[in-house]
Amino acid sequence: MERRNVIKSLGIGILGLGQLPSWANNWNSDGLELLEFENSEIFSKIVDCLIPETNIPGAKSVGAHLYVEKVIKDCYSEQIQNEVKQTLEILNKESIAKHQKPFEKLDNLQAVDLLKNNTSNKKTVEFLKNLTIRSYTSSEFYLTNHKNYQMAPAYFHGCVEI
Amino acid sequence: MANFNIDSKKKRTFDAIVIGSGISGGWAAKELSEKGLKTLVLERGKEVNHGDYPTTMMQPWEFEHLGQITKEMKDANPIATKCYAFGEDSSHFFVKDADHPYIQEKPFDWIRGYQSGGKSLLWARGTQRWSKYDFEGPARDGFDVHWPIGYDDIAPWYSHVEIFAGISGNKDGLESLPDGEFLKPHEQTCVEKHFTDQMRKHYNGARPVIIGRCAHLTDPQPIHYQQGRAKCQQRDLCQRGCPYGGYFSSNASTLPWAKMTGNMTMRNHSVVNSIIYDEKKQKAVGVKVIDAITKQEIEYFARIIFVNGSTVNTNIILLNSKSSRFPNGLSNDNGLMGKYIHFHNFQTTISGEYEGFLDKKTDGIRPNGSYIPRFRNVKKQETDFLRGYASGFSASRTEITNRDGWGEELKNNLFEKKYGNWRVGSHFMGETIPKITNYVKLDETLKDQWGIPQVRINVAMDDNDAKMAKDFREQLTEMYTLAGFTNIKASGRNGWNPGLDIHEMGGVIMGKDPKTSQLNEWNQLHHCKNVFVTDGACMTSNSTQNPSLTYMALTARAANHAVEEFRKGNL
Repeated sequence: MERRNVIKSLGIGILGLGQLPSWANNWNSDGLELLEFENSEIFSKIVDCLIPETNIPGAKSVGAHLYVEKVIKDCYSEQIQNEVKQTLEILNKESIAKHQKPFEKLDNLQAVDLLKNNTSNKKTVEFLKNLTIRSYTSSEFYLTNHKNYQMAPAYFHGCVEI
Repeated sequence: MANFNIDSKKKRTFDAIVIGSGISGGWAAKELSEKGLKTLVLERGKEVNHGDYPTTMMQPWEFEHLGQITKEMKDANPIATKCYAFGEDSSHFFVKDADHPYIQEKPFDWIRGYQSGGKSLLWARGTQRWSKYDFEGPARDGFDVHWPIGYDDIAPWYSHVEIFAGISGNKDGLESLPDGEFLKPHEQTCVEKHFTDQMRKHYNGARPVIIGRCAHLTDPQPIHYQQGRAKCQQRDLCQRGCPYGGYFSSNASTLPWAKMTGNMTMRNHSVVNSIIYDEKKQKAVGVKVIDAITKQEIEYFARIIFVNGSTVNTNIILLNSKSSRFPNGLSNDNGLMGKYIHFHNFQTTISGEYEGFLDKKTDGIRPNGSYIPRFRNVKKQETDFLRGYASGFSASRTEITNRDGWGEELKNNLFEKKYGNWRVGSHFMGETIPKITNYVKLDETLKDQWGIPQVRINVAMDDNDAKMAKDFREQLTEMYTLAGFTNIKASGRNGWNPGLDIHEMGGVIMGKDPKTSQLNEWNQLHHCKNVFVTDGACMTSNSTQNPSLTYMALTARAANHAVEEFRKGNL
């Protein structure tokens, strides 16, 4: 059920973004069934609270939660995967202890507060933050709106005024 | 194709056979077919026609892992994934380790690309000419086999290949790095120009710093449009294959040109087992091929054979071409084939920062950098190590991503426009001395899946390489300091083995004397004159330039000689 929600969420919050990354659109439910993490919603909450939706798209709109989950599964060692799993479990426990609800149900300020103040898993939280930033700053929205990204500039000037 | 093996011998007979379709094989194919010879090109890898570049138009955000290599890929390919150009966008053009095993007697990172065009799709595109000092220099120190040719022999062929391939560069008028037929140069950045000026001032012109010469169409000419190529779009995504043909590759240039003549036949999935030697005719008559997919054996015949399999594979093919006349490999009477493998030492780098020009930045993309030609031991021996090195040099300035904060604060920080200092860096490209102790040879029992003996590679660095690297770090530190750079850090590269330079050369070297070399001044095997070797294997020494341009020029030169001899009936 939760996984279906992930797929559904692809359709919302696009705010003038055009479209989601094609790799996200290309996913099918078979592919998603292979994911090892029990709780994909928690990644949504993590990226959303780190880089929230404002009047411009946030990390969730650009599909950062899908990227974070996929890259951890495909590109990192079992040890790192286990550290991420443990961290997610701990965040969830802390959330229930403090707010009586799972991490993914928190509002963004509550969630960010738990991430910020997590001392026992600082390294992993930093890692998740960096992956989220990487996804956001590689997104079409960020590159074309902020970085003036051009795939084929066809020029180079070695010395221009800022 | 399936019926190839039952076709008549006549259908399997050509004027010339070229083994390999990479940067040198493509040139052999072009020259031979253009001169009217019916030419068969044998390529062991898959077919990649110009434009068959599946990732080339993908945007950065379209890659599943944003360019990162998966753990599965890394674990399965510990060697190939070390290559700087190996990424999510280019992995399909690299040989996977498990498919093509070899034996490392000493650590050697053998990077390969098996497809039409070979590694010409993946190269770094630096194209600096050799000077007369590069050809003559090694004779000074005694650790050499003399080159049978000099700069004047190759100069017209450099021009020939430069005009067709399209080389951008500046006419710098340097004795140590001759000018060529250049398209307009890329621009140096503010800090690169500053460094050039400072070095001119401090070393009285003895250490020039120039914009690199590279195989990009900055200003395409009619000859390039005729190849179907267009201006380089400065995407710097070259390792994906270029749909514009903006940089030179066999796929974009020589192979389609050869095809247009109507004289070239290309056969992919053709693993060459050996060259067939006819004892009565006292020459090679053809090539034995194993179909990579069906594993069937097929023979092809021709009067001229060009071996352009890439350095190590060319050595393997020739060593495996055994007959009662040549029990140790084709024309290998002196037993030196496979020995004198040499390469470029890239094992050290230097970086720094510059706090000037803070009101300036660069704009656009440049698939190139600046270049510091060799300044050590050019005309005479001046240091405690032999030979010398060239260096890259680049200065660039990128926006800093402010990662501080959480939530909306972090988001705002990510949209800050802020530049750091200029960053500068150099890589080292050191000449290694060709040594008899650096060799490749065939394993006596282990074979690959096509029944070809596996190769044993025994190549290592020595004390001279270490001394030279130390000198690079000292000299570049001095030069960076004189230019006012700060935060200078010179360091070795951990885990960098010979081979990762992808400049392996030698084993079938050119020379005047058949007792000490395998090839004559026209790249013909001394004892089997209708076999030509013009890839990296032929190189007598390596000097300090990126070698591909020299392979191209040697190939065009040898191919034209082959055609002349063919017409005279001498082959």
